[in-house]
Amino acid sequence: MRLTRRQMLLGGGAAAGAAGVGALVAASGDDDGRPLGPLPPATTRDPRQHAWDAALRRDEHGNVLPPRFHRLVLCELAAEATPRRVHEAEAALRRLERAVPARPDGVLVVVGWGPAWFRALGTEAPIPAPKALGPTEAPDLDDPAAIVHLASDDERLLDRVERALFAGGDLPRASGPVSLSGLLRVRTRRTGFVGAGLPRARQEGTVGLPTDRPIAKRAPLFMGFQSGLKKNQATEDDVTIEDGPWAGGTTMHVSAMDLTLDTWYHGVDDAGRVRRMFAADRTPQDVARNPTGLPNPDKDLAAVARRRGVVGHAESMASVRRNDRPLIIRRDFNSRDGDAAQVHFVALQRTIDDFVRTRTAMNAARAINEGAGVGAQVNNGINEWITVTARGNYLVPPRAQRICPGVRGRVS
Amino acid sequence: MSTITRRSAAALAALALAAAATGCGGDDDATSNVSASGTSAAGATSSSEHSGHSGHGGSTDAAGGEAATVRMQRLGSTSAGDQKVELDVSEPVTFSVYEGERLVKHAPRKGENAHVMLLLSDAQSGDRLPDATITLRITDEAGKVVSSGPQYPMIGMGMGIHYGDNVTIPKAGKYVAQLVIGPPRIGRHSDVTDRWNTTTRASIPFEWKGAAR
Repeated sequence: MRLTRRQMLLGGGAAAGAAGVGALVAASGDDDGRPLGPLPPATTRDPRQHAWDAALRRDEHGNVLPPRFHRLVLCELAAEATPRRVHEAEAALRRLERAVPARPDGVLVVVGWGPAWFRALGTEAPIPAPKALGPTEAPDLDDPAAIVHLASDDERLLDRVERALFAGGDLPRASGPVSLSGLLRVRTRRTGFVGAGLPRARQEGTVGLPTDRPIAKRAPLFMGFQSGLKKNQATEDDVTIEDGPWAGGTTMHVSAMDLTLDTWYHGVDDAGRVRRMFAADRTPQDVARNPTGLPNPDKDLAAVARRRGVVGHAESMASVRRNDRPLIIRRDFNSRDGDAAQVHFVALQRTIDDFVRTRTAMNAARAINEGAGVGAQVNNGINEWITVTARGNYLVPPRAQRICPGVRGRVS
Repeated sequence: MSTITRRSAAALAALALAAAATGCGGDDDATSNVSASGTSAAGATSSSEHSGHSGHGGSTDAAGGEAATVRMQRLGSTSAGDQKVELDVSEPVTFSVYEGERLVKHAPRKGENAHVMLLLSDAQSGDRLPDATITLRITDEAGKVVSSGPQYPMIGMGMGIHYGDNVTIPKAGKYVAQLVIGPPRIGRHSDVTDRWNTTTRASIPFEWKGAAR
């Protein structure tokens, strides 16, 4: 039997087994026999691509502050993933990291791979295809081969790095090419921001935001609250895959949501917003007194709905915790792509199922119709103001396999 | 409100009453925006204009027979599986939404120029379907979003149960209303147990003349 080109890359038919990773060919040379040359030295030995926290700033309460500007670049394969192209892409990322440090004053990078990549590879994907996560939504189900999450406090630098990676731009300090274009072609890009003052500065002309009331000056997000508080985040260790071929990696779910906040700011007052964002019995004073996040006891949501006529967003997810922490790290940010107010919700968790459990809990199905006015959307957390428009699932491989996981051996 | 039992609240979850119809609208700035036509489409300049549920055909809403107090204009309709959705529009209105025992008033905001009403019914019987979810996304000809969000379940005199909100449609032109319709959660007789059970997408292209009347 004549081997196809792909089977050759995968080391013959053996690679079609379970994870398909055990039978990888070593990337010592291309199929034309030319040597690939050494990779630039790595800047870190941490296998976890998603380990950003040590580099991020913190506020006075110890909450991690996310980088202020973000890009999500959804890519398809531009060409077959030959060992040479994989090698060149890894070399490009290393040159980037040597020129621009993985810090908020540089650029942080995470590369994830979707089911489409594993289909191309001919192996079973370690993550499921995305699906709608409740009866009220019918999102586009994203299916790119790869997603690249870039984040920085410096928006101009971020744009420059994005152009260098995907659009042939130059990066003066780099020791060689930093382009991924030989391997990946951009299908969709999503942009955004999170941080005090940024939503207000981007309010005017953004569809979905009130036109007659300014968003609070220091609000980091359009809805006026800070996300990712210390007590409401899993740790990076929590979400790291512990064993198997992807040990050191994690999984990523990326959703896109429209926001429509006229009634958030006008039909609901401060106290009502707190009830909906946190819990039906919480007050603005409680929020102010707990800057690292409110305690969030697991309650009977049906009883809350009957007694209060509203259930809170955080409250609805209180049952989905491990070691008294959520199962996910949220790295969400706002966007005004297309001049419309949106959330890009990047969630990291050990398995996609951890995300599905968390997000399904947010539907608060047990509370619906239990209290006068509590519906699937109305008086049900923040579901009244969001429209989920897209979902995608990705494996974030350990750093050594961050380019085309499964197609080559580990690099060091 | 004391006559609303838990059970009936469950049947009409998130019931909202059009303020103008219940008299709780007060004299806020929205009142002047509501056309109190009081009759059917008399004086309407377009054949697609109508009042309340007259002209919908086949509906069995309890409010049937009463003329709507708000002039509604039909922008389009579509079928989505075993459901039918009609898109009507009026000038912005004040509506109220229950939170527990309290009605919270939603008055039109600056810039809003339409109240959209999505009339969801069974495609065969014409029965209006309460306690579903409809999320609406209006895009312009270039595909840009001009309005997006979950719609409030509500009822108004003569217009029956519908899903709606006040929105801003920036200028005259062609638009598409993209809908995601979630299954009605109201209790069911056995003959409709298997209907309306999937979340469906639908879209209604429409032309906006720049105002709701």
